[in-house]
Amino acid sequence: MKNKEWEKRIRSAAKKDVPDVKEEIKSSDVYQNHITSALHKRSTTSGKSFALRYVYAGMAVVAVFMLALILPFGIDGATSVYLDINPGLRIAIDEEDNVLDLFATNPDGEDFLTLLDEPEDKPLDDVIDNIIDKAIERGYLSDEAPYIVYDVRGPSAEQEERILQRLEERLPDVVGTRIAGFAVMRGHGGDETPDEQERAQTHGMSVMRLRLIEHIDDETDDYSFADLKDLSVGELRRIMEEKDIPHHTPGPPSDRPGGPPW
Amino acid sequence: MTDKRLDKLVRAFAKGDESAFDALYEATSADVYYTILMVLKDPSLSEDIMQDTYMKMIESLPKYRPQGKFRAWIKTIAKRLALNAYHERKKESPHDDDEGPLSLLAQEDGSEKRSELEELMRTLDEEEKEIVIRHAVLGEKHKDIAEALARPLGTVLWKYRNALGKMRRKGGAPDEE
Repeated sequence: MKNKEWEKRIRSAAKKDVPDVKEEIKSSDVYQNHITSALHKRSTTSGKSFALRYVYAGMAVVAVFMLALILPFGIDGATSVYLDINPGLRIAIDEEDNVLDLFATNPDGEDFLTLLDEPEDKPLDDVIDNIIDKAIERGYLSDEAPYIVYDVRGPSAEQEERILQRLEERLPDVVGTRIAGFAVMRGHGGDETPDEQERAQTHGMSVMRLRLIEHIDDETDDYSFADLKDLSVGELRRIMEEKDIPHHTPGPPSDRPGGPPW
Repeated sequence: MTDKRLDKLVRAFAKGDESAFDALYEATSADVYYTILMVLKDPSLSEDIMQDTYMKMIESLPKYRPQGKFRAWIKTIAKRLALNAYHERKKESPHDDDEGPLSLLAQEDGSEKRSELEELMRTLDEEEKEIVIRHAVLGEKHKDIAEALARPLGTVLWKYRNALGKMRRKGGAPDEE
C-alpha cells in the first residue's frame, strides 16, 4: 500500500474511535434553546415574505430556462474550453481565441478563480498560463497529480478542432518542463444535463470528471463510484489502462466522436 | 466535505435545521476529537471537552462569518477548551506527570480488545503515534507538527516515514486481515 492508502486507512480507523456525543449535545439546553429561538425567528419573518416568494420563484424559473438555453456554449454562443485540474474551470472565448469570461465548474474551481488575474480580453494562451502557474503554486498540479483533463465545445467545428489540437500540443510543452510525467487527457465537457450538474455538485466535482468516473464505473465491476470519486486523474487513468477500459468518454449524445486522444 | 458545503450547513443550522447539525457533526467530529486528544492525551476527558466544544460552537454561532473556515474555527475552539482543561487539571493535581502516554482508546470498557487504530499503531512509540495522527487524521503539515512538538522538521519527516514503514511491515494490507 502506498502512503496515501495508509493515510486513508488510518483516517478511517481513527474515525471509528471518535466517541459519539451527538445525542448528549442535542439534548443540552444550549442546543435546544438554539433550535427554539432559530425556528421562532423563522416563523416571525416568513409570513410577510410569503407573497414575494412566489414572485421570486417565478423569476428563478425564467432564469433557469434562459440559462439552459445558453449553457451549452456559454455566453453569446462563445466557444467553451473546459479544464479539470481538480479545480474545474470553463473558459469562454470569442472567435479570435480571446477570453470573454471564466467560470468555475466545481466548488474548488470557485475558490481557485479568486487567485487568478483578470482574464477578460486576454489571449487564451495567457489565461491558461496563469491558470497553470497558480495550479502548480497551489499543488493542484504536481509530480503526484501530473494530469489535466480538457475539452473544447463550440459552435464552430473548425475552432473546436484548432483549440483542441493547440491544447494537446501546448499543455505538455508548458507544464511538462515543470512537472515530471505530465500528460493531458481529453474529457467530455459541454451538453451538461441538470441531473449531471446536480450529481457533480453533490460530489464537489466537475461534470467532466463525473463522466470519466461513471464511465470507469460502468466498464468494470472492480471499482465502485465511491472507490473512484476521491482518486486523482492519474490514478483514474492508470485504472483505465490496467483494466483495458476503452478510451471513450461518456456523456450525452454529441455530434462529434468523443474519444480522447491519449 | 468542502468548506463551502460546511458553510452552507452552518447557515442552515443557524436557521434551526437539525439535520444540518447532524451533517456538521459527522464532518467535523474526528477533527474536534483528535485536536483535543492531542492536547489532553486522555480519551475520557477528551470526550467531555468534545461535547463542550460543540456547545461553545452553538453559543458562538452568531459571531461566525461564513468564509469557508468552519473546520479551522471549530478546531480553534476545541484546542482552546482543551488547553483550559489541561491547565485546570494541572492546577488540581500539580504533581501529576506532565503528560501521560497517548492513549487512543475512546472507550475504556475493561476488555483487552484493541480498537482498529490501536491495532494499526501498536508498533509505534508515543511520538510517532502523535505525528501520524496529526498528519494523517488532522491534516496538519509536517512543518506545523515540528513546531508543535518542538522538533526539527527533518526529525518529524523521518519519524513519519519510519512510522508508516513500521505499520506497513507489521500491519499488513486490509485484505490480508
